[in-house]
This record gives sequence, C-alpha cells and structure tokens, in this order.
Amino acid sequence: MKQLMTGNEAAALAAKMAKPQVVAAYPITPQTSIAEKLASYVARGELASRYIKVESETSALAACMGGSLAGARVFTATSSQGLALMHELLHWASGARLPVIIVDVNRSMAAPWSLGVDHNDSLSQRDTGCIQIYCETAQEALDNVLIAFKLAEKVLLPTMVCLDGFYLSHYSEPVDIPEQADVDRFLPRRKAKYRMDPNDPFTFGGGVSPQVLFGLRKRIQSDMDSALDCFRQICTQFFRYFKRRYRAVESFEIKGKDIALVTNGTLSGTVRAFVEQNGKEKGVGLVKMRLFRPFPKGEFKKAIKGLKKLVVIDRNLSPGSGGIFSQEIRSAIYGIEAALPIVSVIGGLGGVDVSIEDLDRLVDRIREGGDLQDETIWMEA
Amino acid sequence: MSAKESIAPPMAAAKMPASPNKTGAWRFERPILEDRLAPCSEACPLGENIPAIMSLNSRGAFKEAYGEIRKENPFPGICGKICFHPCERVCNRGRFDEPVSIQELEFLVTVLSRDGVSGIEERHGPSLQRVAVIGGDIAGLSCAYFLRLLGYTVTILEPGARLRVFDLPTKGSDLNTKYLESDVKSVLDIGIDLRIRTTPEAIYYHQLVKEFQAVYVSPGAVDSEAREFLKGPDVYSVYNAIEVERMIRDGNPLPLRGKVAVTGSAREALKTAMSVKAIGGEPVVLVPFFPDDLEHMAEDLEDAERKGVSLKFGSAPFALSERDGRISGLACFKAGKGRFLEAKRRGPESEQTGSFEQRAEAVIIASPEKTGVNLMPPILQETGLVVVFPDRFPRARSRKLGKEKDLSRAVVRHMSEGKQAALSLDLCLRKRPFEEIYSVAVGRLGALSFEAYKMNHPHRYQRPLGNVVRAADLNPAYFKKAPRIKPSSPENGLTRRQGVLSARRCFQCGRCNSCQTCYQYCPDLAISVEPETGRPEIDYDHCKGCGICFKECPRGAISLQRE
Repeated sequence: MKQLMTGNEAAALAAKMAKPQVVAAYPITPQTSIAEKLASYVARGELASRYIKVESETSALAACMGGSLAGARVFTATSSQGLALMHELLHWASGARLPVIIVDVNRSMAAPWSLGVDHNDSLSQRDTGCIQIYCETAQEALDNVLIAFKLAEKVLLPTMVCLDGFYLSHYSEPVDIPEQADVDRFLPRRKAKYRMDPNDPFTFGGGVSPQVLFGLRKRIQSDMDSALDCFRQICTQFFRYFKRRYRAVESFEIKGKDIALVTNGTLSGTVRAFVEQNGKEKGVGLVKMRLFRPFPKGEFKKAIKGLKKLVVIDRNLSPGSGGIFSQEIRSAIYGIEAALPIVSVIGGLGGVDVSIEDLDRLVDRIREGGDLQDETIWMEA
Repeated sequence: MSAKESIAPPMAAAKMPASPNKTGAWRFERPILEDRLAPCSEACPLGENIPAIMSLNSRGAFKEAYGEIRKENPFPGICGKICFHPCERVCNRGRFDEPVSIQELEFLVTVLSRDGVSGIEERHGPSLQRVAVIGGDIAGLSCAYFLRLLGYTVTILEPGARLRVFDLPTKGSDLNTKYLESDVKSVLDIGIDLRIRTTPEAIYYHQLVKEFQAVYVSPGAVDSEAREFLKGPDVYSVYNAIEVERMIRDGNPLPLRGKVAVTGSAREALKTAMSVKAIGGEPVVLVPFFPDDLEHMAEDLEDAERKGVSLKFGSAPFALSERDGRISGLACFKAGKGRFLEAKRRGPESEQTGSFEQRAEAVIIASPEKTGVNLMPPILQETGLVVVFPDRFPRARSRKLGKEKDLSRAVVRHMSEGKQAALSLDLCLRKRPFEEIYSVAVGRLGALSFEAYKMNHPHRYQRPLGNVVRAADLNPAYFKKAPRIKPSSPENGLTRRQGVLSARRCFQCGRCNSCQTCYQYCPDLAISVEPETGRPEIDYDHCKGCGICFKECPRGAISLQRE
C-alpha cells in the first residue's frame, strides 16, 4: 500500500512496526515529529511500548541503553546538538554492545544556529563504534530503519539511521508501506543472549584489565567487518519480503561513463536526476554511499571499476582536512592498480540547496579544470 | 554474530559485583539523612514535636497523638482552645496554600483521648528527693508535672482553698471549665501530692528545709506571700524594679545601701539606679550597648553620670554569681561593639570578647524579661535548699489576665516557664551547670524539649532540635493544593474524619516518613531501605554525592554537607 508521507513519518512508522519495548526521545528540530508520532502511537495504544519522557538526549540514550541491557528492543531519535549530547554514551553503547537504534535527522551543528542539513553531526560520531546508514528517500528511511534493527541486534552494535533534515524529514513522498505480518517475520522479537537479569546477576561494563579492553576493542573491529556481510544478507532477506533491493554502495548508470559523482543522503536524489537528464551527454554516473560505518571498502572498489575519475561531493566539512567522505574514499582505494583521481567537492552545508544546474556547472568545470586533485571545490550558493 | 563464534561474550560481563569499586571516594558533598526541626515545633512555646503528632493523627491514632503531645505539654485541652498557636503562623504549608489546623487538631485529640489515657507509662524510678511547689497555678502545675516525670516526689503547697489555676477567667474566654478540670486532674493523676490551705508557717524557709530538697515558687505565689517567707536578706539579694520601689516606699532600703549591680533595659536600669543612688547606695549600671547605640537617651546617660551613677558599657550580664552561699554579683560578658544583639540571639556560647564578674552586695534586674540573665539563684550552700523563682517571665505575671489574647499568652508562657523551672531545678539538684539547658532548646525561639532532656539524662535522644526546615527546603512538586478544613461549628471542632484529613495536609517538614523517594531517585543504588522500619540508609562507600536525594526529598529530611 502506498501512502504519502514525510521521511520522519516513515521512520516513525518503521519504528512502530519494529515494536520496540522502550522508546525514549527528547524533541529537537527537525526530529520532533518522530518523537511526537511515536508518543501518539503509544498514547493511542497502537504501540505497546514504554515511552520514557526524558529531560535531555543524554537521558534518552541512557534510558534506551538500560532497556537494551535488559534485553529490550529500543529506539530513540535525535538531531544535531542532541546527538552531540549523546556522544559520551554512544561510546558506552558500542563498548557494552547494546543494539540501540538511533534515527539522526541531520542538521548542521551550531554555532551559528541553523536548522538546515549537513552531515557533521552524525559524522562527528564516526569513531564511536556506531553503525551509520544514510537515506535518500522516505521509502529508504522506512526500509533502513527496519534493516537497522535487524543488523544492530545481530552484530550487537548501536546503529544510526541518518535522514537529511527537511529535505527528507519534512517533504512528503509516496511510500510503500509493508504489511505488519511481513515485518514481524522479517524482524522477530529480540532474543538477547546477554542481558541484565536480577535472577542471574552480572556486572556489565565494569572495570577490566588493559588486556581485556584491548581484546574487546579488537572484537568490535572484527564484528564491524562482519557487519558488512550481515548487511548484505539482511538486504537479501529484505528483498525477499519486500521486493526492494539495497546495497551498501549503489551505482547508477555508470556503465560507459568515465566520471562518477559520489554522494550520500538526499544529494544522491539530485545527482540521480541530473544523471537521468544529462548523464549521457556529460559522461557521468552516480555512486551512492548507503553505509558509512562500517566503511564498505570492498563493495566500493567493485562499484567504481572502469571509471576514470571520482567526484566526491561532501555535505560535511572536517576543518583542516576537508570532506570526510573524500578522505575515507581516498584511503579505501589507495593502492588499487590504476589509482583513480579524486576530486573533493564541498557542497550544501547548512542546508544550502544543490541544484541540477549547480551539478551541471560542476561537471563542466571538472572537465575543463584538469587534475584538481589537490584542491577542494566549494559549491557555494 | 561475528564470523568466528566466540565463547566469551563480546562485552565485559562479570559475575563479580561492581561494589569493590568504592565510588564514594569521589564524593565532596555528603547527603545526610537527618530529621530536621519543623518551624511549627520551633515556634511552639512548649516545643511539641508537631510533625510526629500529625503523623499519628493522619493515621487516626489519636490516643497515641495525645500521648505524644503530653510528652511536652501537660495541658492539651487548655492549649487546644486558648493557645495563640504561633505554630500555624510559621507553618510551611501556609506558604503553599493554608496552614495545617494544628490547634483544632490538638483540641480534637484531647476530646477523643482524655478519658482513655491514664498518666504516662514511662517514668524514672522513684526518687528520695522531694520538691515543693508553692502555688498551684499553671506554671506550678507544669513544673510539678515535669518534675514528677523526672522521678521526683512532688508536693504542691497551696495556701488557698483550692488550686489557684481555677481562678483563671473561664467566663468570656475560650477556656472551658471542663477541659481545665480534666487537664488538671490528669496532671495530678501522675502522682503529685497536693496540700491545700497550707498555713503561712508551712512555707517558712526553716520549715521547708526540713522536708524538701528544693522549692519552686510559682509566679502566682511570688506576688503574694511566698517570696517574703523564703527570702532572707542574707541568702537572696536579687530584686526587680518593682520590688526596689516598694522597698524604698516602705522605708526598708537597707539591703540597697552598699554596692548594687543594676541591669535590665537601659532606661529602666537607669531609673532604678538613680532611685538607689538617692537613698545612698552605690549603683553600677551594666549596659550591654555602647553610647553610640544609645544616642536617643544621651541626655539620660549624662544626667545619671552627673548624679554619680557608675555606668559600664559593653557589659552583658548572663548569670548571678555567688560566693559562700551568698549573691556576690553578676557574671558578665564583655560585648564587642555591634556584636551583642547577635550574641544574645545565639545564647552565651557565641562570640564574646571575654567575661568578668561585677561584684555587688545586691543585684537588681530592673526588667528581667529583657535581659539574657540566667536568674537561676545559686545553690544555697549552707542549707542545701534550692529555691527557684519565676523571674524568667515576669511580664506574664505582672499583666492582668483580662484580655483574651493576654490570657492566652500568659497561660502558655506559664506552662513553658514551669517546664524550664523543672529542668533548671533538676540541673541544680544534680549539680550540673545551667548551660546544659541550652542543649535541649528547640530551635532558637526559646522553647525547651522535655523529651530530649529526659533522654539526655542519661540516654541519647534523636529528636531534631536544630536546623529548621524552611519552605525553600521542601520540594513542592510532591504536594497537592488542598484547602484547610473548616469545622462545621467552632464549639464542636473537627470531626474524627476531618481530623485525619487535616493531619494529612501536614508536610511533615524535616521528618523522614519513609516515603522512599530518595531510594527511587538515587542513580547509584547507594540508598537502600531498611526492610523492617522502611527507613532509608545511605551507603557512603558508593554514594558519589550527586545530591539528587537532597534535592528530591519532599520534606527536607536530607541535608548536604561538605566533606
């Protein structure tokens, strides 16, 4: 059944269908409608969940972590400064291997205050050990949340589903809503192997020797690696149930093209439209990053085979370094036989619109500009 | 799960508890669960433990509440009707909506319980020491009551045909004869001897000393004959302004011919000192202030000095001193400038710059109610008879018991005075310093706790006597507005049901009633609940001192102290 809904509504609906036992969220623009929607589901009895009202995002995540530790399926959503407030506990959640699902509606970090999208809030959490999935459409928001629950509970790591603020969170699109029965089969009730139980008391996350800590960190890395395989398998399962196929890295019309625009989030939609219109004429295709953590190196390398140049458009900025995706991609493809030139582009910070015309001009400039490897191109409004 | 299935869990999970990590070491502020003093208890002239009484009332345990009242107040029936209830004026609930109906409840408790309670069960063993109380007025009865509870054998000597307490005006006041009689009866019922129509000879000093170890002269008796009989010029040379005037008028100023120390309010003391000077005495006026503080009476001061009255500024008398069984003068603090008022409020142990003794052959306390002087007469070494005069509150005595308001204040003050006399007397007989009485002061407004005194003697007692709970210390989030319940008619008072509901309005300021809010809020599980009593216990090995319990406690029963 298709229905017109915003990205936030889609994410909230997915969370509802996943039937979490604990929901705790603190409202923040542009996430607020997710928190509201879930609260009303619970209030109307459509979701049998414990909705914990909290006084901050720290408490929201802490409440979810407590629920998760007790074996519950848990959900929270936040944005920007709220996610930054969760930062300390994100480390804790991954270290304690708690499969908390966090929907982050991307919004630029203050100062100055702004409500528009860029990805610095979620990318700041890069090293916390939290899985990160980015969405292009409202449909993907719904689907990725369902996939995230399954993935997180399988690999026991917190998982973040990132929605672009306003462009995705507040624009309505047709969304195909799955049957609850299918969701229930795809995502059965969580069975936690390790959980807090007063009848069998354990101390979780207590003090350990350096050696034990080292071992546990290594374990997170190996489980992150295996999460890529898990993601692939879960996407296959997802296709079987819902007939929509997702990959960690997705390419669009790159056959016979020499340049690929590499993007994530809603920018992919604009690039997709550009490629549909002018792709042939300009010789460009799209490579879309769905997963950022774990970074899908292998799939990325496969996806870019045959391309001559990569143009990475980052809706983020690591000051002093540049675009985060472009750095990650450079590192991922380092050492492959024919080293690809990579052009790093920063665009759309703070929610600045990137239009098809902008992309057109960008490609023209890159075609004319030669190497451009050592400089950053700024797509200013 | 990971590609290689591991046996060990992927997170740190241990069977060992986290408790060996003593996180209490991080704390720099310590929450202390300590019952604190409710403002009503502090304001009560008798220092009743009102939150405890309300707690019993709220459970319908009116008989127990009556017992609790009688621990500090021998006359609940009288107080329930005519007390001026300063407790309600300071009730923290009054800031929230309306004060708790403390007085109406006291009356209700008496109505419901007076027939069912026989005396007081707990009593110290019978004592060989015998005390006489001269004059059966409110103060005399109150003193007798508390002395009896302390184990003394007490005899009330009443020269009149009946106890003079029955002379209180019952017509035109709220004082009900029925409750007056029943209260008096219940006081006498605990085992107090009563002798009425005593002859004047019976209260002669040399007669009394044969039978008693101590004598309390009630305020009602002082104005009549008792003091004259008891007071010989050799043993007791302390006078008030009225007595001085009378002595001069009667042409009997002999005791005032030598060096005379005069204290009291500055104006009164000056006036009296000039009278003494006029008949040839050598008055020394002790003034706790400095001339700068007394600019308004600069002329009077000059006048007095011109007439040869010696003035000692910055001298705050606090006790009578005695040598060889006779009054030898006044012990005084040397007050620092500007410090006296503060010091007076805090009692004698507060800041002073030193003390000295003003030697004198007689002492005049011109207006005793305005001085901080301890008027406990010294132990009379020669005879061993301790005599206590009620000089502490002479105003209540000297006023006519006419107007309703004055009657109420006078009666309540007499009750409190009797209690203080009993405790003072006990300290005297046990040869303890009078200052010990301050250790059972309920707050700073002057009431004394008999219960605390009794327990101190010889046991420890936990009743909170300090650290008053203010409205700001409470957490109003836990209380709902509820209007005060008005009795259907003022004569009948509250019904039993209304009483329970009224008592439930009490915030129980400063009194842990095991609501367990702190237990629920402690983020470190450092508060546990004692299963039998329901009282919380703080585990200082693991309390990090976050202070959430202190903030959250609805009734201010937790304080936070720097480590």
